[in-house]
Amino acid sequence: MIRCVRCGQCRSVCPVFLVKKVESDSTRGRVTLIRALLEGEISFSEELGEKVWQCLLCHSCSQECPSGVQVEKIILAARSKMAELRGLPFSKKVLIQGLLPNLKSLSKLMALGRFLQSFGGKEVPGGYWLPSFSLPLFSSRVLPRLNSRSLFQMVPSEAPFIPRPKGRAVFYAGCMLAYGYPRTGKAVVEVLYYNGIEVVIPPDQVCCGLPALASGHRETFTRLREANLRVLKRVKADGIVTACPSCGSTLKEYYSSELQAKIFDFSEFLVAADFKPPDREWKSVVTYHDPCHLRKAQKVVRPPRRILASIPGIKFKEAADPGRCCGFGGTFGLYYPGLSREIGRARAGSLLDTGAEAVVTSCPGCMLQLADSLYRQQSTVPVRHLAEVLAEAYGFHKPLTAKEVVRPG
Amino acid sequence: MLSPGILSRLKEIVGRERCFEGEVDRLCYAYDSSLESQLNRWLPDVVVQPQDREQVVAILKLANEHRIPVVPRGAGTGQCCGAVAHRGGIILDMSLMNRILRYDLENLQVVVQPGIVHAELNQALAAHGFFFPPDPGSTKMCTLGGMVSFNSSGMRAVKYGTTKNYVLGLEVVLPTGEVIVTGGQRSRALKSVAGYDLTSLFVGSEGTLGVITAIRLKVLPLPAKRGLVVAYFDNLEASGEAVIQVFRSRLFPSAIEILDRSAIKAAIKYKPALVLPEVEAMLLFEVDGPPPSVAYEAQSIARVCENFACKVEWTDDPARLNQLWTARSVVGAAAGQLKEGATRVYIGEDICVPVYRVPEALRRIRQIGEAYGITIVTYGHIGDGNLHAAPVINTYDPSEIERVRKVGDEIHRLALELEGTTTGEHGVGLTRAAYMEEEHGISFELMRRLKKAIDPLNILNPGKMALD
Ligand SMILES: Cc1cc2nc3c(=O)[nH]c(=O)nc-3n(C[C@H](O)[C@H](O)[C@H](O)COP(=O)(O)OP(=O)(O)OC[C@H]3O[C@@H](n4cnc5c(N)ncnc54)[C@H](O)[C@@H]3O)c2cc1C
Ligand code: SF4
Ligand code: SF4
Repeated sequence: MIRCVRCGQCRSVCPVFLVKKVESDSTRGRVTLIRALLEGEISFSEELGEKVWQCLLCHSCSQECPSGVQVEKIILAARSKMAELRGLPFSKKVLIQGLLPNLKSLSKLMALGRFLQSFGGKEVPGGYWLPSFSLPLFSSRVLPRLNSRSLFQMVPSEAPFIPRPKGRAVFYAGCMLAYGYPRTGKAVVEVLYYNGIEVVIPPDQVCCGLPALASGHRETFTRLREANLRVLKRVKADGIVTACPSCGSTLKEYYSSELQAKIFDFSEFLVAADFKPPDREWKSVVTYHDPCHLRKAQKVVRPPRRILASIPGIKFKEAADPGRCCGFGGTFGLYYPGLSREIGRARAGSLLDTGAEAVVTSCPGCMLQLADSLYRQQSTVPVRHLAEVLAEAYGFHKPLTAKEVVRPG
Repeated sequence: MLSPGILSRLKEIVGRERCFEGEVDRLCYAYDSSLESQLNRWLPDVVVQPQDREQVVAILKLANEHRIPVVPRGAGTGQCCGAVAHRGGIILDMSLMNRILRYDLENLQVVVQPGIVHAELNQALAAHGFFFPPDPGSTKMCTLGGMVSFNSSGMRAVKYGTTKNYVLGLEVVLPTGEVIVTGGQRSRALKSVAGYDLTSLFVGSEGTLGVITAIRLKVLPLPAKRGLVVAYFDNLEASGEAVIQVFRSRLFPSAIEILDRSAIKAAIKYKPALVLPEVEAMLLFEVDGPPPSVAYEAQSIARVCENFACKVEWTDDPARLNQLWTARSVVGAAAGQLKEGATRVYIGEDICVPVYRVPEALRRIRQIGEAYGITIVTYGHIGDGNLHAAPVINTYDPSEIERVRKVGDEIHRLALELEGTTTGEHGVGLTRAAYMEEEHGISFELMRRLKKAIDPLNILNPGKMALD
C-alpha cells in the first residue's frame, strides 16, 4: 500500500471506475481511503464501507500497477477488519455463514429453485431462465435453468477403468459447476476421460470459500479450506483440476503452498497433457472472454486460445480489449446488480463488436453474467464454456439446438 | 466552507449525483501524484462534474460572484499539486466531458472535449490511420485538458514537439463566465497569424486563466512503421556523445531515451523477461516512417552508436518494441520496487537541460542523492534534455522527507545553473512556484499582470505558479 505512487494508471482498467468515473471509485481512491483509515486520519463511515465493498477483486489493477501494489490483498484485509468491527450485514451472514459451509443445503435449495423456475419466469434461449419477479440476492438476473441432478449425481465419483491412463486428476468442481451448470461440469469430466485421464470427483468437497474470504469472513473461509484440504490431500493424483477460475485462484493463492503446484485450470491441464485436437468441425466465428481470475490472477492466457485454435472450422476473433472484466465479481454481482449490469453491458458490447457467433469463456460466473448481459442487448449469441465447446467438437455433447438459441422476445 | 445555498445551486447546475461533498470523496480529490499532496491535506469543499459547457459557465459565474476558488481537474496525474485545491473551494472534475466532437481528418484535425483520455483519443484516431503525436508516460490515464494545460509531451517530442505544437484553437470559459474561442471563431485552418496568439497563452496556463471546454487539435497520419535501436554503454559520457554524434550525422530519430544504471535495474525488476544487461546507461532510439527509411535510419544510428557503446541491437518487431517501450514508460513508477518499504516520490522530477549537458546533469543528480543519502533513479528524454529523477524513499520517515525536499530543491537549482528549466513537462503548480521569479526575471511580472486582467478576483486555481 505504501508503494502506491498515486500515478492513476489503475484508473484506466478499474471496471468500477470506468463506469462511475469518480475518483473514490477508482483503485487509487480505494487504496488512499484504506490508508487514511489505517492511519487514523479518517474514521469509518458507511460511505467509506461502500467504497471498499464496491470492488470486484478482479485483479485488473494489480496486473496494471507499475509499483506492484497488490490491491486485492489490501481490499480483503480491509473487509476482514470491517467485518470484525461491524459484523456482516444480515444478507451476507445468511449466505456466508449459513449456506456456504453446507453444500447439502444448496442441494435442497436447488429443489426449491427448480420449483420456482416451474412458474413465474420465462425461458431464455441457451438454457436460461428469467424470473418475472425479483429474487432475493439475484434480483432479476438471467439464471441457468436448474437441473434436476447435481454434478455429483450425474457422474460417478470414481474413475471408470481406462486401459492405459495418461494421468489421474481430481476434479474440484466448485458450487457453480456442481449445481448451476452441471452440464458443463460433466463436459469437463468427459473431455478429460477422452484424453485418457482418470478423474476422481470427491463428493465431500465443499465450496472453495472465496465468497467468505471476499466478504471478510476469514473464519468461515478457514473452515471450508480445511475441509477441502482434507479431501484433496486424501486422493493420489497428478493434479487437481478446476474449471472455475475463481476456485482455481483461491486454491492456488490461499490454500497451501504445498498444494499450489498441483492445481491447474482445465485448459492448463489439457495443454500440459498434450490433448487430442478434435476432428469434428465446430464451424463458427468465436471470441474468447478471459475470466479475470484466470488471466490476471493465474496468468493463464494462452492455453484456452490454443485449445480453441485446435478445433477445426473455428474462426477466432480477439476482442479489442481482451482481459476486460465482465462485472460479475461473485458476491459483487449480487449486491450491486445495477453497477454489475452496467459493467457487463460494456463488456458484452466489445465482445459483440467482434462479430462472434459464440462467446467462449472458462468461468461459470462469467457465463452467468455474460448470458444476462448479452440477453439484455437483444443478442442471440450464446455463451459457452470451453469444456462444452470441446465436448461438442469431440462429438459426445449434443450442440444446443437452434431453437434453444433463438432471439429473445 | 461553502454555504448550503451555494451547494444547492451547484447541485441544480450539475445534478445531485454529480456533486460530491462527503469527506470520502473530498479526500480522493485532495491529491495528485506529487509528494507534497501526499504529505498535506488540501481538501476541496466540494467536487462537481460538469457535463457540458453551459454548466461550466454557470459554475464559474456562481464562483466568481461569491469569490470561491475553482480548480479544474483532469485525471489528477499531474505532479506539482496543479489540480489540488489548496485553498479549498470547488474541484471541477472534467472527466465526464470526454467526447470527440468532430473528426475533420481531411483538414488534419479533430475537435475534442477536455476530459478525453489520451490513449482513448489515439485509439480512436488509429482506426482512421491518424495520431496525435505527444505521448506522455501517463497516456492511459491523463486527459487532453490536462495535457493542454501543462503543455505535456513525451518521448517523441524530439521529432514531433509538444502539445502546444498541435493546439490550433481552444474554447475557454473565463472566470467571469464569458466563453471565448481562440485561433479564430470558425476557423478550420491549420495556421493563422491573425492577432495575438491567445491559444498559446492558455496552453500551459495550468487552469489559472480559464476552463478549457473544447480543443481543436492538429493530428498527423500514423507513420507506416516504427523501429528501435537499443545501445548499451559502459560509461555515461559516451551515451551523451553518441546522441550528439547521431544528430551530427544528420539522423533524426522520433525519440531518444536514456536509462541510467539505477533505471535499468528498475526496468529489470519490473520486467525480467526483457533480459537487460546491467550497464552504466542505455539509450533507446525510435525511428519511424516508411519501411525503407526506417531500416536505413535504424542501421545508420546503430553504426554511429557502435563507436561509443559496448552493445547495440535493433528491432522492428512490434511485440519487442512494445515491451521495451512499456518498460521504459513505467520505469519511474516501478522504481519504488527497488527498495523494501519505500516508494518512488515525485519531487524535482522533470528538469530540462541543454542536450550536451545531460551526462553532466545525470552525474550531478546522482551526487546530490549520495550527499543526502537518498536513492535516486534517473532516466529521461535525452533527445530534448528532459530528465526524470525518481527519489525512492520511505514516506513515513520524517528525516527522509526532510532530506528529499532538499534534494528536490538542489535539483531545481542545478537545472537553472545548467542553463535549463525547472520543469520540462510536469508543470509549476505549487512545487515549482518558488523558482518562477528566478527563471523568468522581469517577464514574470507580465504573467502576473495577465492573470490579474483575465481573472481579476483570482478565483481560478489561486495560489498556483506564484501568480498572486
Ligand atoms: C506515471 C506518469 C507518467 C507521466 N509522464 C509524463 C510525460 O511523459 N510527459 C508529461 O508531459 N507528463 C507526464 N506526466 C504528468 C501528467 O500525466 C501530465 O502532465 C498530464 O497531462 C496531466 O493530465 P491530467 O488529466 O492528469 O491533468 P491534471 O493533473 O488533472 O491537471 C493538470 C493541470 O491542468 C489543469 N486542467 C485540467 N483540465 C483542465 C481544463 N479542462 N481546463 C483548464 N485547466 C485544466 C489543472 O488545473 C492542473 O493545473 C506523467 C504522470 C505520471 C503519473
Ligand atoms: S497503478 Fe498502482 S501505484 Fe498507480 S495509483 Fe494505482 S495502485 Fe497506486
Ligand atoms: S480489483 Fe478490479 S474493481 Fe477492484 S479496484 Fe482493482 S480494478 Fe477496480
